[in-house]
Amino acid sequence: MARVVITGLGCVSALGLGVERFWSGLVTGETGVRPLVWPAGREAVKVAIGAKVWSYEPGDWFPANQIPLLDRFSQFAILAARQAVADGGLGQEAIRSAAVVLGTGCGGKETEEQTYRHLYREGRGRVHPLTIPRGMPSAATESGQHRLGHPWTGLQCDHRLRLFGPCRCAGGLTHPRRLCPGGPGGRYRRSFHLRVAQGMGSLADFVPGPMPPVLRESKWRGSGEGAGVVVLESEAHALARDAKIYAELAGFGLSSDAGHITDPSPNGAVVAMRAALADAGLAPAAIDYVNAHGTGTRANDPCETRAIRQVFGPDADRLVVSSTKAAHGHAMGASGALELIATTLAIRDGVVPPTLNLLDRARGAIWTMSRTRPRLAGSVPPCPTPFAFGGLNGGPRLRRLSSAPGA
Amino acid sequence: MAQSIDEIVVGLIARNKGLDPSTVIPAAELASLGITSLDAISLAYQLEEALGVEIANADIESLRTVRDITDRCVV
Repeated sequence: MARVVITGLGCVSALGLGVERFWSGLVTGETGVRPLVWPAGREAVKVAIGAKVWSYEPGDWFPANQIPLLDRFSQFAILAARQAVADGGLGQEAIRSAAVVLGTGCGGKETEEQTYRHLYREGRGRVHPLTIPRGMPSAATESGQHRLGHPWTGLQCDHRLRLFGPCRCAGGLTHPRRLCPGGPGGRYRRSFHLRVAQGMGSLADFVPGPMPPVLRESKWRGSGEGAGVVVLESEAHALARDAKIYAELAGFGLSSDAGHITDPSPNGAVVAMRAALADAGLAPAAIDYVNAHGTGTRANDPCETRAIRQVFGPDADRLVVSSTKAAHGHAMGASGALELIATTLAIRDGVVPPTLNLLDRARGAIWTMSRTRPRLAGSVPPCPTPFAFGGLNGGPRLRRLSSAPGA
Repeated sequence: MAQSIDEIVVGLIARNKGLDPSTVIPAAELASLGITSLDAISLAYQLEEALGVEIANADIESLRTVRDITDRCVV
């Protein structure tokens, strides 16, 4: 079976725009989760913190006549995709034959909120005629294709592959190997994976509040927004065009535990992780690092710890496990992609991003402590473990490709 | 100083269609400016927002020139 490799990365997150900004924030222990100050008239909203893309101004990136047509989540998707295409060094020919696959947790929440406000608060009688095309879950893919006269123009979506679900937190990681040559059912030469989300509705209206001196509580994890895109292609194609290869996507597992709509089940995660290990042909002992879903909730973290222990057995105590959500927030449908990017860069640099604000070590006894940066050694097949509302669980396995990737 | 209705209408058309505002003259045919039926409804939405007027759907269909729009927006 042909190997599938990661050759381009792009992201927008609360840590800033761009992959290197994201990564430097992660490894130095920054957080984009901040107190929120709500606009006048909405002070009663009980959401106190969030991970907005703070430094973002649409006018810096899009022409004025396109902004009304692009929901915030589409804008993030397009920016992240542009970065990934540039980072991957993809030319027009490569782009034209690529599939674009997008996942989103909520679609265009900004459009939804504006429409509700317009109709039910202001009592208006007309909604914008592009309300559906702007806010629908596939809007980011469609907008990227049709609206922009930028490097994105050449990106052609394959109609058979214009996928946008299932896409909660884990959903962003759905399908990657299936769409690549050599993957199960794969028949496409390249695919781009878009992961886009907004967390608690549109964050566009927030301004940041004052920061407390120290973020000490694990409850400082908050909902967020952002986008992550990775370029996947066959190793043969990457080598033929002399592309930079970050890592191999060695295996992938997916499960649906058919349990509670929000309460995670260890069983689903166990099935996904084991399926990914089997797909990669790796034993649990071969894994060094787990990038955990790690939402910081009472439901998730103990459940995830149990799942990891069940899959890795005695090796669990040797594993390095960390979650980056306290840094970039829970960006819902974008989380899986952001964490895949974080894990890919952990392989590149041999550095594991720390878990911030982790107080209750007993609850997740195998998690790395705040601001630790363990060095990795040798071959590192790490595995992000995204869970999702609805019982979806994804589990990609990455592998460093060393000196002779074709061997 | 507040913009006149003419200025608001011309500004929105120019921005929506990426046109030089000086080409959006009162006598200009909407079709010649590339304004489709969808553009017209979008413009009606924006004008209702900006000016607090209400434009009936039947009126939107009868608009032919830029001047027709500004006339329709005079309260």
